Amino acid sequence: MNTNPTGAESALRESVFRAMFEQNFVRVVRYVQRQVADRATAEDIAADVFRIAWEKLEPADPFGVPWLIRTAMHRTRDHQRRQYRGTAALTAIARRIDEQPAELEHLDRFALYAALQKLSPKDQEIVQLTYWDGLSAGEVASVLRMRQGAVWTRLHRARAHLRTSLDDSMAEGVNGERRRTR
Amino acid sequence: MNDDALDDLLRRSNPATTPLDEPLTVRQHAIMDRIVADPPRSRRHRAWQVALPAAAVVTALAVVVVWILNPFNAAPAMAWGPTPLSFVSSPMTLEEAIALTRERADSEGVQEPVRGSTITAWNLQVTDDGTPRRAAVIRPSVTEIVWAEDLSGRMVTSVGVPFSADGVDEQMPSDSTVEPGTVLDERTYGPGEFPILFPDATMFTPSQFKELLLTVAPDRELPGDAVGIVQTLLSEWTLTTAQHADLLDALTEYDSLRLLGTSIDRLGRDVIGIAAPASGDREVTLLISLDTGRIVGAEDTVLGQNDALGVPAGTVISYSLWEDRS
Repeated sequence: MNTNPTGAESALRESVFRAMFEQNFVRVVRYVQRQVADRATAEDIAADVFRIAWEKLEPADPFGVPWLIRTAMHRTRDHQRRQYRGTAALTAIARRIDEQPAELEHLDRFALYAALQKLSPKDQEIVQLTYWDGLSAGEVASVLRMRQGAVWTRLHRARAHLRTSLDDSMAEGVNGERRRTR
Repeated sequence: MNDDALDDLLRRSNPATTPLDEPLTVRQHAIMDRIVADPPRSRRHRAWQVALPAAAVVTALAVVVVWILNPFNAAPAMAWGPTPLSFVSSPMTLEEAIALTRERADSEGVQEPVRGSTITAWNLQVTDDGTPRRAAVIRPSVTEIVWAEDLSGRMVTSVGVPFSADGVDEQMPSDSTVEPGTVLDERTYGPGEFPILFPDATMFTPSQFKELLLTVAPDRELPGDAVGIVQTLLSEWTLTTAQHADLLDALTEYDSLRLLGTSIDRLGRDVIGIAAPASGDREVTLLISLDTGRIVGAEDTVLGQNDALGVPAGTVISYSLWEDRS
């Protein structure tokens, strides 16, 4: 029998942390990777997030995805201010477009990213957390410190704006093509 | 476009390339092992508190009491950021200010782009829960970046020269113990590893600079958003003066640039300031050297209460100042 409660506590703590890390580290990297230049930097920032989690971890109540993403959001902003001084996420996205498999036409992606840029920063965040990070409305609400109902309302409105913008850009594309072929 | 098509497009457009359903890589395992190998600071702190001799606690309390009772011990003035630069109005027009750079492009300064830059920078400190912190002393960092065509390189960040946040006290408070020049962080990157956004600065023609800025910051009322890209470029490259002129020309595609006048920047250089409104109730001040015509700095200021940081209007939340590498 282990008579050393501190040792047992430490072992439990480490075990809980490792499970949390294995389950969520890549999700946090993917969140950060949308906004920084490369995967190595994204992993460095995610490592910072998990270092903070390690410092603050209570084994009986480990951190969930919303806390990790929220902390990653702050660390990423801090990194951008420190390293790139406000580089728009679109730059990182634009550079990575060529690295991605051609599942989508580049123009579709650019049209979508341009449409996203027209949303308010908070609405962009809601859409991205929902579709790219796979968070539920409740989890998005926890990350952004909003009410769940407000998340639903804003998501609904943002999707309507995106549809309109994409329809407009498609129409422009078709007209542009016509103009060029005349 | 219907709802299903939009949902499908959104899900498939996630720019993150790290696979979600694969086991941790060797590097990721190493990160996890490094974290758990380091005991949490809070626990180390608790252990230290227990071990602290009682006499030391008494001494510490005595020091605190003396400090509180000492009427001459005035607290240093705290601020969210450095005092904004003060500009003297100039008879020069915006166009003339920008033309300064073009005039010098062929005859002076950097004639070939150099991979790397030296950046003196500061940004508002934010705690882990996102709360901004006030400070009595502004402590900039100096980052030297050198990299090669194969994307290997080195980045060294050291302590810059601190200054008083209120812009009044010349003498630094006594806690300014870290000597300027002390290395804070040093990173070496192997081939292909340096996180460079613009691997080839020679590829940009004047029209491509315009296209780049307008792609990233399409709203012509918000040139400050485009300055973000300029800042990134100038942090990765020491561009030629002609390229600086091209960048400034590209910025004139925007509608709301405003000449502020002349000032002296935080490195003591004579500069012209150009205000560029940005999204999120912010404004970026672009600084152009009166001596060289080159873009030498940018400062980011909050204009209203809508900024996500929640700091008061008029707060300078970050600045970057570039020095040429040769």
